[in-house]
Amino acid sequence: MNYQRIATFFLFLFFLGLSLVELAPKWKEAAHKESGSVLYVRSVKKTAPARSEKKTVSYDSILKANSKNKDG
Amino acid sequence: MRKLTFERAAAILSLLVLVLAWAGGRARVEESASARILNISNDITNISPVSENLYRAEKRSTPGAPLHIALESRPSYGGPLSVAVVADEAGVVQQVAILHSTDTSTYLSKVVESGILDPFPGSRLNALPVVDAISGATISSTAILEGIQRAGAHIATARQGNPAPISKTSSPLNRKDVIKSMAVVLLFGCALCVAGRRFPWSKKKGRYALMAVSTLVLGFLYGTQFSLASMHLLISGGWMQGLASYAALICLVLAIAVFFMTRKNLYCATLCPFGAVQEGLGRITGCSPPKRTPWMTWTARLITLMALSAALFFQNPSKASFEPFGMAFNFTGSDALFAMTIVIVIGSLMVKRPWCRLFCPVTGLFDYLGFVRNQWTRFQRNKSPKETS
Repeated sequence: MNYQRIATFFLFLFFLGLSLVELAPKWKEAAHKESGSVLYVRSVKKTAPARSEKKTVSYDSILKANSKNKDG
Repeated sequence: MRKLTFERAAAILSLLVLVLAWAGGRARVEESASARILNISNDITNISPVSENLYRAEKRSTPGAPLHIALESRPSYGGPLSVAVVADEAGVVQQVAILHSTDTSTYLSKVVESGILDPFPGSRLNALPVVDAISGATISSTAILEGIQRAGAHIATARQGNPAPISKTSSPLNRKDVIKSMAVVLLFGCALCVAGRRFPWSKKKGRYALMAVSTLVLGFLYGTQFSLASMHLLISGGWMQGLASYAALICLVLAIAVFFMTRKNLYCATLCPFGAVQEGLGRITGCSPPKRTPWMTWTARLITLMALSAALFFQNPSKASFEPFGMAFNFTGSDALFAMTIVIVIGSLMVKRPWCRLFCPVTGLFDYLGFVRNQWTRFQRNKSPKETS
């Protein structure tokens, strides 16, 4: 009888402890969640903006490139 | 007399706590749909409603570029699951999101981590990819896929007056759930028959036979056992918004109805698969039931009340469940539930039905219902002599 009382006491303590371990993180997570928050989102992958094919050449670089061109 | 007064006060107080938690939860979730849409992406601005569950917005990065947003809810395991689809003017899906779910978070994260949402962004509304449901979490994944298909079709209809084809969706009541529910009703019928006076054979043997069948059918085959989460669904009215499976709820309603009709808790005594497994283990050692002291009784009731209040406040039945039923029969659940199952298995060899007698929230629920029933009977008995005089 005494053995069963001890077993009952420890079983109850285990149940109490484990149920709190199960419930407390759930409640903590729910309490910290903002109102209106979204659970999961997947978006289109953003690609790098396409480069323009048009090249900009400065007037100085043209003069520099043509400086050795003696034919004018 | 003093004990009775205390019990009456506790019964009224716990009812008050539940009502307050429910009211607080209602006030907490009364948020505008536009607040949720804004949380889908920083690129969404100027949201305006077009019709029910359909919105129009603009891209923040390219002002003037319109976006179409549709919300859709589908019945899932723990209640409705809400999704959103955002598409641009060309009909290309920009974002898909799961806004709200009452399913167990471990199931939902398993589904999302398997990549169920990944094929949708970048696809066209009129050619949404066909994705298979995830095995092991079929109900949740089907709810997500159906929700996205329907939301996509909703946008396509609104954009061009041109409905997109919706893939064939399962009806809320599928054949498997109907069979499950019928099995539950049949088992309750058998339990009433065995407990009845006219049962011709040994009641003890009949009860053991029923426990064995119930363990196989409700436990291992269907995993249909009501819990505190089912209680939350019943009292919060969550079942009215649609459920993928009503079998656990039917089980709860029948258990309460039979309890009020026969004054016997036939479910716990005869049909509960988890109780049957504990009793079977206890038969090996022939142990006797544990003696529950008052502080144990009231602590277990307090935990039950706290869990149910939390579920009502957070509007989510999964916040109430701490029972190891899923772990015992389907091996799904957290480490804490696994440890609890091991403790219960070992404990069942030392004392008879340790979980049922010491900590099961269903025991607390029937204690409460029994107390209310007795008080009501007493009230009626006291009332009738006055009326006759």
